[in-house]
Amino acid sequence: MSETANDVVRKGLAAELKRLWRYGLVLSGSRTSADDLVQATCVRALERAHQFTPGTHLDRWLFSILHSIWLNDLRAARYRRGEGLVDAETALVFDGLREVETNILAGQVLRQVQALPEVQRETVFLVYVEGLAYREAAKVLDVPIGTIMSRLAAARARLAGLASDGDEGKVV
Amino acid sequence: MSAETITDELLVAYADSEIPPEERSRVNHALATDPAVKTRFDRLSGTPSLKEPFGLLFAAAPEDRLAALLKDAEAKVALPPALPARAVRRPRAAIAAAILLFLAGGAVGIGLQSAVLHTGGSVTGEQENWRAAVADYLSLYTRDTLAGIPDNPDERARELAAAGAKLSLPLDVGKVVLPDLALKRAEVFAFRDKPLVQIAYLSPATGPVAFCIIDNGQKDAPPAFEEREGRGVVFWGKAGRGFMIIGNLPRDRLKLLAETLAARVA
Repeated sequence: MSETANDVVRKGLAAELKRLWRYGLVLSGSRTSADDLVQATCVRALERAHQFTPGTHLDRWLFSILHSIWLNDLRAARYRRGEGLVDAETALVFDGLREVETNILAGQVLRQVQALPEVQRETVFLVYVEGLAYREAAKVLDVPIGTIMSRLAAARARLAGLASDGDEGKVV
Repeated sequence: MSAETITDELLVAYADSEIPPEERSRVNHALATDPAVKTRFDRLSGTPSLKEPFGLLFAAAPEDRLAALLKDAEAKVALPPALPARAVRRPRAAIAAAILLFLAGGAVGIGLQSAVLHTGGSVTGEQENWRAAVADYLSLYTRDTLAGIPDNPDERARELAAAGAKLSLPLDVGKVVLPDLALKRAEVFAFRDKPLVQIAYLSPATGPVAFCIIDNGQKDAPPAFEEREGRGVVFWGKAGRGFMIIGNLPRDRLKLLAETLAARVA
C-alpha cells in the first residue's frame, strides 16, 4: 500500500511543478523563493510519500505541503532576517516575465491580486485560479470554511473597488 | 428577510455556487426583492476573471530549472544517498564545514552532571537521562555556536564515518542531511561510558537543532514527543540504540524529521 503511495507521488510530482511554482510565486512574491519552495516541497513530499492516500488529489496534497513550508520555515526566516512583509517586493514580482509584460490587462489583474493581503491572496488563488472547492481550500490552508468565505468576500470587495476605477472585468 | 442578514460572505458563496443549501432560498429571495442586495451582489460578483492572467504565470514557470530542482530533491531523499555536493544546490540548504572533536567529557560535563543529579538509576531513568543531558548541553548553544563552521563536505563525511564507527552504525551525509537545515557537524561524546553522537544542524529560522544517537541497549520504542529546556524533542528506540531529535521547531516538523531519520538511520 505504501509502495503504491510512493509510486503515485514519485510519478506525479513532475507534472505538478509548474503549478507549485506559481503558488510559490503568489505566496512569496519572489521567483527565487518560489524556486526554494518548490524544491523544499519536493523533498518533503518524497520523504512523506508513504503518507499520501492514493485515489485522493495529489495536487491538493502538494499545495498543503508547500503552504506549510511557507508558513513554518521560509516566511518565518524572512521575518527573522528583518525583510518583513513581502509587499515591498510586490512591484517587482512580474518584472522581466515576458508573458506578463506583453499583456497589459492581465498584468493589471495580477498586480491587483498580488496587492491583496497574503491570506486573501492565496485563498483567492486556490479557489478562483486552481479551482478548489471551499472545502478543499479549507483543508489545504487548515482553516474553517467560514474563514475561506470571509477571505473571499473581503478579497472580492477589494478587487471590485479596484476594478471599478479601471477596466471592466469579466465575471470570475 | 432583512438585507443586513445577507452578508458579503453569503453573496460571494452564492456567486461561487458554494452557498449552504439552507441559505439558498433566503439569498434568492433577497436578490429578487431588495435592490440594495442586488447591487451589492453585482459589485462583488463582477470582479475580473483570474484564470487567464494566472495562466501567464503558469506559462512563465521555468520548466528546466524546476525539473532540475526535482532531480536534486530526489537525490537528497534517495537511498542509497547521493553525493552531498549534488544534493545541495542552494546555499540555504548548504552543508557547512566541520570540526572533528572527540570530547571525552570536558565541555559536556556540565550537562552530564546536572543529568546525573536527577537520575533514579533504573533502566528507564537511564534512558531518559541521556536525553536530559543532551537537552542541557544544547541549551548552551546559540546560533553563533554553529554559524561560523565553514562548509566542508569532506570534513562532514569524515566526522560521520568516525561517529558511525563508535556506534557500530554506518552514517554518512546522505543519511542525515535534512531539508531546510544546514548540517554543521557530528561529534562523538560519551554518556556513562556509552557512545553518544550528536549531529548538529542550524535552522535559518529557529537556531540549533540536534540529532543524537546513543548505543546503550535501549528497547525498541515508537517515536514520542516531549519538551525539554524549552525545546521540542522526538525520541525513539531501535535495535539497542536510542535516538532523539531536539530543536526549537514545531512539533509536526520535528515528528516529520524524526520519521525521515528513522527510515534512513537504523
